[in-house]
Amino acid sequence: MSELLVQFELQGELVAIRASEVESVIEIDEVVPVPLTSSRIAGLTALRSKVLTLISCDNDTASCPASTPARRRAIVVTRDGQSYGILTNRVVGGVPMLSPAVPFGEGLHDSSLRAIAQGVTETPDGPVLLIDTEAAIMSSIRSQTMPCQ
Amino acid sequence: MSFNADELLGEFLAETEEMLEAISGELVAWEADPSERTRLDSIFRFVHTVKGNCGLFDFPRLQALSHAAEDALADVRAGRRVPDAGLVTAILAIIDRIGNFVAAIREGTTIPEGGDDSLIASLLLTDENLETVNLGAAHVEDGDRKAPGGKQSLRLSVELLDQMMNCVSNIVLSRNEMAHQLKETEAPQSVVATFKRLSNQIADLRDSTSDARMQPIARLFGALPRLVRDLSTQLGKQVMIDIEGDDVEFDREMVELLRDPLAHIIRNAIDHGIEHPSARLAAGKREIGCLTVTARRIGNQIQVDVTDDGRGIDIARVVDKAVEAGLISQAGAAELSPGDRLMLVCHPGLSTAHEVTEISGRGVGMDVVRANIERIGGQLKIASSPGESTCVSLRVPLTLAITPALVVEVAGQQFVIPRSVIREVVARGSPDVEFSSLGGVAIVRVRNKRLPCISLTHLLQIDAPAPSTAGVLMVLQLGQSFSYALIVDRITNHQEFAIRPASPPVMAAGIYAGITISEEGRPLLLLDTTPLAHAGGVTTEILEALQGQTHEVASETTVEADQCLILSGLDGRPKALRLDAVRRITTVLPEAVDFNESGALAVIEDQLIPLVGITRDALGSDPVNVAMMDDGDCLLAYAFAQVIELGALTDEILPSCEPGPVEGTTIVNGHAVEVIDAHWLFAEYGVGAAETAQPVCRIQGSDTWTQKFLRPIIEANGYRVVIDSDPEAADVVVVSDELAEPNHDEATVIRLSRSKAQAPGSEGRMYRYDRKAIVQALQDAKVRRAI
Repeated sequence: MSELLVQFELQGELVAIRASEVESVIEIDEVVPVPLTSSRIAGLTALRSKVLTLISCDNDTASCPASTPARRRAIVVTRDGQSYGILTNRVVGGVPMLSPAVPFGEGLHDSSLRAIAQGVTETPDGPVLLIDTEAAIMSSIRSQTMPCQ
Repeated sequence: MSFNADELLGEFLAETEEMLEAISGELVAWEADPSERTRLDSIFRFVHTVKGNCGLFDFPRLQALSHAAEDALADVRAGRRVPDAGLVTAILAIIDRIGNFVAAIREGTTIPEGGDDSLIASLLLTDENLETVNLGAAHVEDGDRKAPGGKQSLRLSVELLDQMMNCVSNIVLSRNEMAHQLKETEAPQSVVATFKRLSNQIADLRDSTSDARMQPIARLFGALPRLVRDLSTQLGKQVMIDIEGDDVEFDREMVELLRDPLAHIIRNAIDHGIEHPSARLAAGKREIGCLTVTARRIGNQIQVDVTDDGRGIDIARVVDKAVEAGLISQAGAAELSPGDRLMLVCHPGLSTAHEVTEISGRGVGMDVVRANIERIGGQLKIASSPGESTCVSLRVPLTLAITPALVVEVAGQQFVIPRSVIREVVARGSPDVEFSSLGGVAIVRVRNKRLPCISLTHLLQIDAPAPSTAGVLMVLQLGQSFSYALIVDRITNHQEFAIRPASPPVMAAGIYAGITISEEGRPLLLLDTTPLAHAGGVTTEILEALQGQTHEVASETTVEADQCLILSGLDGRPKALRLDAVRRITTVLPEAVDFNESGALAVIEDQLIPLVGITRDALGSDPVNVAMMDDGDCLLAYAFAQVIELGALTDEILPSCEPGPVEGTTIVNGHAVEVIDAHWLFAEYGVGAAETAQPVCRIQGSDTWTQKFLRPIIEANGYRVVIDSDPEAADVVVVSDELAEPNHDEATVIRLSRSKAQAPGSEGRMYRYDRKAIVQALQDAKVRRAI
């Protein structure tokens, strides 16, 4: 049986994440900003008794998280006991992954996507970028702190 | 429940290791005094248990060793053999070997054959050990039949405990959330009552779960006598160790984290600190060096001091070494304070020992020790007087899991600050506070102290409306001389939070210590106050430059009249304190509180101040929050558990039936609260008022009933008691009915009768157990006196 992917929108196009890594998809209402962190950290939100660190993976929302209204949905993933929410405008649904991910490397012009993409994989709907959760989290640490003006 | 062999083996190993740890101190004590019976019993019990358990698992070598030791010890216990140094050494060697075996079994390795026999042979009786059977010893009871200690215990895996703690934290969070929802939905009274009960039970559960994680520090200290013995023997020194406070308890996680640092400090003390016996004698000291290890709880922290009476630290030598090693320039060294020079020994790559020994002195260690202590939120300090002593102090938090903290707000965003670092909270507009700037560095004077000042809004780069003069100034104390002021908009809450680590991207900001969830279910960030100070530009130089500057300040308070502070009292009930009576909120250490006949006194900023709202029983080992009240002439401290909120006294106050500390009851923000009568408190306890204004009651007789039964009641009603021979004029005279009529015309006379029947006769006569009547008479006399 082929692995399932969850497709969602990032930077205006559809990308995918391994369904096995996705805990849930939630609607976000209140976001608590975290001052002095990377611009990729959109803030914190509570999910029952857990705290999610919200990550903006694209430039749209990363420019100034505190003043941007919270985006509608977050894909919840867990890494090392911490929960994260990857922000997106739209979650499409599950598709089977038909081929192993092939690295795209420098071919990817968008630097913010290049940092978090594992490669390209084939789906029944055509090829999509496969997002690496670990890299998405790491990129939010590496990004420079940018105070909001 | 079923056990498999692996589980059983794990149990055996864990138990043996634990016992090994526990008896290592006993062994040394036994060596010092081989006739000590209880030590012998516990050592015997250990080898006996090991021997028994070995049979279960097929460890023949282990069994042979423990069997031989058991036999030898049994002879000693029965009086057939006198323990000598040879026997003690042989037993110690066997116990060490048992420890090696256990470690090897755990790691799945084996110990090479051989050696066991010679160990066993060393136990054999030599001629001088032989002695005729001591008849008296035949009656000695069998120590091993008794269970060790009275309590039953159960072994739990640490993982399970952590899991439990985590569950409890989650329950607490859900409870907080539910409390908030109940508040908003106006639930029926019965639901609220049940919830309250549930809430208390959850608090109990949380406390006992935290307690389950607590361990006496004895677990850590138990191994020290052996360590000291081995090290001193190896180095040819004579050292005795004195341990105090080993019943202090703290989180097991912290116990483990302190183990290595402590061992290292002790190694250093014996190797570098304590001199050889000849050198000690030459210096006019006792031949035997003394190492003192003490533990005590200070608020939510544990302080462990390791003091040796050795040669102290040669500061000049430390500096020379540091310059030599290129750690610091000669000029840089000259600028350091004596304390900082001493701390150079914590620099990587610095050792002051003349020669490198096997034990220490390789120049690695103190830097690692300090780093490890600081990593868990602790502090390391060194004090030394050359030629006399060195003291290394470690101060670490009690637990890492639950923290009492204040929620502060800046520009609508909330953050949490641990209560333990907050020394004082003052209104920004208070006359006690004065802002200034020193070469661009913001400085604030809080009464007589000047501190660097950080605005949280500014530091966090939060967009805020035009700077206001409103807000609250918090004085944070992070170390002896590390204190700064933090400005926030307001304090919104005070409660205990289950703190969790934040995610790495959040921690990367460097100013957060963790994360928690508020009652409303919002995430809250815990500020890490030390890096916060550094981020705010507070440097050691600034702190030192500001130190020692004092200022005399006039005291005056201006706050809106009908504002009140809602506190939860130490009796658990909510109280309202008029803000105009409160000067500030601070904390008092339990050691600074003294109870005497008329009440409690506390030392606050070198002044002895009456402390009310507290009973001896309510004083625990934690610092007590107090609201400082000021009537212009004198100060009074009101003890409380925590600040609930600020409110306004808008509703009618239902007066109390009789004058006392509570003026009446009213409704503030929907809750019934007791309004504290500041006027009454000052009249009763205010310094200066005590001597002149307190009514005097004369009692007759020094019999038990008068002194122990009657006197407390009279004193509790605010009277100063004088005895019959005292010529001082009294307001009330209490006499026993049998005794002669006193000759005090102006005083109210209360006559106490032994019989209930004849009591209500002439005026002032009452049955001596009619407390109500006695109290009424005392109160009436007070009122008459006032008129």
